Amino acid sequence: MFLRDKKGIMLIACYLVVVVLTILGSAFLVRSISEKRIAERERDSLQAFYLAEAGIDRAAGELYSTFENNFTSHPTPQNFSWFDGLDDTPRSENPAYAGPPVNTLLGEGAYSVILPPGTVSVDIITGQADVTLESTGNVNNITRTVRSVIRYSLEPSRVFDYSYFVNNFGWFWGGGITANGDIRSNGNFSFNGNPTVNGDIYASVNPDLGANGDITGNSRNDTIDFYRSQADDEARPTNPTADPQDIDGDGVDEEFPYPDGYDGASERFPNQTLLEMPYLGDLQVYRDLAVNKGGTIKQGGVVLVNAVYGDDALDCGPDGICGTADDDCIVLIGTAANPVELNGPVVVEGDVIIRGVVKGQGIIYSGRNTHIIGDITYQNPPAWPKPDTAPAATDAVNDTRDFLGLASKGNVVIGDYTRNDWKATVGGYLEPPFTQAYNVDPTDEDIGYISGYDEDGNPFFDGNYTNSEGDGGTKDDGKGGEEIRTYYESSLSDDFIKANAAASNQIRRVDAVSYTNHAFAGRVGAFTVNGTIVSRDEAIIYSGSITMNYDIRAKTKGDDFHLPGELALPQTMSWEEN
Amino acid sequence: MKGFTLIELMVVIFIFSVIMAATFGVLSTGRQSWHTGSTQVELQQETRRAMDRMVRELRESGSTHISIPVGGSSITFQVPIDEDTIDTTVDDDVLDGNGNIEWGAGGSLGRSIQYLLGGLNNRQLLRRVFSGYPTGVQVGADVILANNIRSDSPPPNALMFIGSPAGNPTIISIEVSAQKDAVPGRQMQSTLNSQVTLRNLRN
Repeated sequence: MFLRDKKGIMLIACYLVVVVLTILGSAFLVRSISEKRIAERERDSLQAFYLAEAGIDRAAGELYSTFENNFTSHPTPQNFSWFDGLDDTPRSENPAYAGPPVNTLLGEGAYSVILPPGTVSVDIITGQADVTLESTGNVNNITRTVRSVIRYSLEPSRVFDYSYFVNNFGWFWGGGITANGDIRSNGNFSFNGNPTVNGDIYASVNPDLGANGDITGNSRNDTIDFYRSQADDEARPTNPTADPQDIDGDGVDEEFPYPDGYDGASERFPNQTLLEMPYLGDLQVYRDLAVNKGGTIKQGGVVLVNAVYGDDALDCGPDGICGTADDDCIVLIGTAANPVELNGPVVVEGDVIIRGVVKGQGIIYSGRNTHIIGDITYQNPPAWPKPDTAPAATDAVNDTRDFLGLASKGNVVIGDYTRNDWKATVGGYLEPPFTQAYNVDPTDEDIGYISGYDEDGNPFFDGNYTNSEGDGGTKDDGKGGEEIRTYYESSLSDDFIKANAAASNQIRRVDAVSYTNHAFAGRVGAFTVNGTIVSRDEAIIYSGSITMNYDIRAKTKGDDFHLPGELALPQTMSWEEN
Repeated sequence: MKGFTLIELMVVIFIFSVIMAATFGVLSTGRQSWHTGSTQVELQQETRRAMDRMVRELRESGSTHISIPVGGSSITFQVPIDEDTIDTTVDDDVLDGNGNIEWGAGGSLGRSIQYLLGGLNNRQLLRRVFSGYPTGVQVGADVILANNIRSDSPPPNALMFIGSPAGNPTIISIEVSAQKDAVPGRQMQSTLNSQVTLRNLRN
């Protein structure tokens, strides 16, 4: 009976096909939807991850700029205790940490950064803070958390990257001048007489001085081959240190790159941004450092300076009589047989008078002037052979060679300033218009540098180093009494300087990295500096020639030598994902 | 009422079998493509999950704490761990008293992690922990990150790590390839590539 109804057969067949297709289709649909969800979750997770990383970067950057603004980019190590105030408190609730809202919407997600309790560690001796930041990115309720330790610290100032740095107009007038290293001024740079600069030249825009950062006049520079054959052993190597050659015999030429070396070109970089000098303000920082590092100066086994000289009543200066003008000053005269032995950082509260042979590695922070009254030579000087096919080995050897840092809160003065030829030549450049008024640190009041206060109430010095000291500072008069001293004079008697300084001011060589916030001045012979000259005002009168061989260790090892520092960019110490 | 003739019956059976054959044909194709699709998805998820795990872990490593043998078929590395016993104080971070990262694996100092092929038919991607870096004895059991890794290696490797620059890499490129029979005679393959920029570059 039903077989008679033949038309239904196609309906059943179609029905079957439709059912099969529907099942297949819906199964694929379910798969696709779940695939899409997985893909979306993956995308959200990735976005959350990058948001979390962004949070770390932002918090690290804001902490840096807040800290920098609080301490005007010259924080002392003690200032790092500021970071302790951040402890334990979520970012949004921390008053010391003023930033934008804690949750910043970026696309669909947000991040929030916290400082986990008890994770800030501060070292106020060296000036360092390790801050742990924990950042959580959240996109559509998918979270990823990243944790990082960021280090804020001081690093040697970039002013030590140059063979000659002056915080004023730079003048290289004379064909006898040779700088084997980069040179930089925080003002215009002027050349005359075609001096030699085997390095790059930088000049900076400085509104205080009315400088556009121009570089004018002609200078010359040596070819790499000429430099290799002529430059002193103490001068930095070339880049590359040697021509490519096959030294291991494998048929392939080795190369000897040395990024800090002289590349055969003297490029000019005018109109640069001002490079702030670190300021030797309160020396307490360096006293702490010297004590912490156990710095000493010895001679013939006798300890002359144990970390700090001038911190107790027994430090009566060279005359051995307490209560006189030369208290807290020290005289260091080394000979080949009996050199001055340096070991780490030390602080001398008064003047440092130094000449002769030194050995070891150390830096002397002086509370006033540093007087170089004769040649200063290293017993084991660093040397960079040119050409050099093993620059790393050379550096390793040189890292152990002698190093002297001279950092003065006052001036660095070379030669016998009591002589008339000194006063007549150098003295003329130590007063306006060659020098200019500038702001000083309040702590400079102790050494007489405050001539007045500007309209903002900040102390300034009028720039005339030939005047008598503003605070009435005195020197020994050589007859048991005292007399008024000028800024460039020491606290010792003129007789002492006359008796101990090099004859006729013919100083020929100083092996030292020197730094002063004030003037670097002196009268010398055919003169070579193996180190750097970093100063605000500079007046060197030379006879015949002056050569500045940059000691590249000031750049590569500045940390180990404890050179005056500046705030370093935040450094990521560790990175984890929770 | 008349019955059907033999001819009529044969025609009906013929037509019906054609229809059935077509129907089963459709069904079978559907079943095949279902298998293919699901195998593909399975392989993709397998490789993706393994890749995600490797990328996350490798990202925490650093240039001088990664070693890749010639050919790049495995990688051994360390990650920062919090080892408080060598700290001067319990500090809850991965730095030691000198500010250096405490390198290790699985919470233990000095250990390392290796990703390699092994296990069943040498077709599993394994995570193995060693007592030292870059070599040591195995600690604990392997963790299987993925199955069905392609068998026709080398070359090119089904699992491959390339560090750039070669000596102390800052970026690691990873390739992982899985393979499986969907239906007899039909192999499915899924290959994923990824790059990791290492985050702990200070050593």
